[in-house]
Amino acid sequence: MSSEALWALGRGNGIVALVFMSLSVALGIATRSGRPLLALPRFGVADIHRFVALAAVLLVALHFGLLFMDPYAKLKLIDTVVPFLGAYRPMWQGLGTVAVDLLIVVVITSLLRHRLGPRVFRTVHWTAYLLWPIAMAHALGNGTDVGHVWFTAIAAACGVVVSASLAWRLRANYTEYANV
Amino acid sequence: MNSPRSGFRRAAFASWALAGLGAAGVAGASALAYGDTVKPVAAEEPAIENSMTTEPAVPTPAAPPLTQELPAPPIAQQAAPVHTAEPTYAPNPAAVTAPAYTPTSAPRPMQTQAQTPAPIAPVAPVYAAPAPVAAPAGPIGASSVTKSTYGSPGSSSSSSSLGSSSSTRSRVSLGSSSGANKAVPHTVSKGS
Repeated sequence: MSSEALWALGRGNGIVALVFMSLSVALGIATRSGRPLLALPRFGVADIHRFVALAAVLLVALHFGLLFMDPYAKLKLIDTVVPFLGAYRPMWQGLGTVAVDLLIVVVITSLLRHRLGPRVFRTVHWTAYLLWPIAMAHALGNGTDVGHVWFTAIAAACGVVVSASLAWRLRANYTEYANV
Repeated sequence: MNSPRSGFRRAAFASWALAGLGAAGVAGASALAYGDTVKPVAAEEPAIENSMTTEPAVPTPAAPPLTQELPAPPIAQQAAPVHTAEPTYAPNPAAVTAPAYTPTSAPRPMQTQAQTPAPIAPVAPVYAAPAPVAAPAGPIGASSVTKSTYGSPGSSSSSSSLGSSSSTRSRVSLGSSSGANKAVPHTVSKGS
């Protein structure tokens, strides 16, 4: 596989990872509401939220792995966990590393949810609200395709989905039992 | 139909549908990214070839197209309401046109401007003759600069630029492709 293909695949995986993170945030908010979503029952919404979140983790892993194999990206293994050490735009790339760190923490606490207890899980899971804007800032600040219309449309759609979900989350009648 | 089994089935269907959309999204986004990486390099080569092929033809037919494209809009927009009177005063043939023109415009200060274009219509060729003589002298030199600078960053299709702008063309085209092209950031590591 040529380096051009690796480079393009790495960018594509990163963009779709951002889309899946946005969907995961929205589905997580829908799960927390305790309401069925369209034709899906409550447990179905939680199931899809988990599936989409794990797919986003896989896409982020592919994003980093493909860019790590690309000789022009010059990523090091330490850039996975230690932020702001990159050679190219270290701040924006470091935000991506911070997002990966937060993602690892959220995934581990989610997998160990039954051992950690709901309080720790919920407290750590709140960092997902911080993870998404950091990942979006990384995409906008470090992305090569920022100037293109298709990327702008995708980023705007992600922003609209998450903003609408947050607006719904902040409403008084957000949870199903709020009306009881 | 609302049994747990159907709920699981629908959830599984939705999950795999999202997985398919994700795979298609990765393919589409990667294709777009790959196209943005490769296409500018491929697009510049024909543009350079076109400019090379048009260079021999530029000196002789350059004057008609440039006078039609560049000076025509400002003159056509401004000459209709205002400049119809000014060119008649500026050139020397006023000996014939000025006496015939001033009596009609003098007694009617407001409406003569609206009516003057009709009688001055035959004067238009007289005015049109000096305009291209003065226009290509200035705008051609200016247009060769502005066209090359404005045309090349937006797209590489501005192959009609003059041959003298070949040095600026290569410089600008490389600079324009450095944003999305991988060829230029090779010296530096890229963003993700």
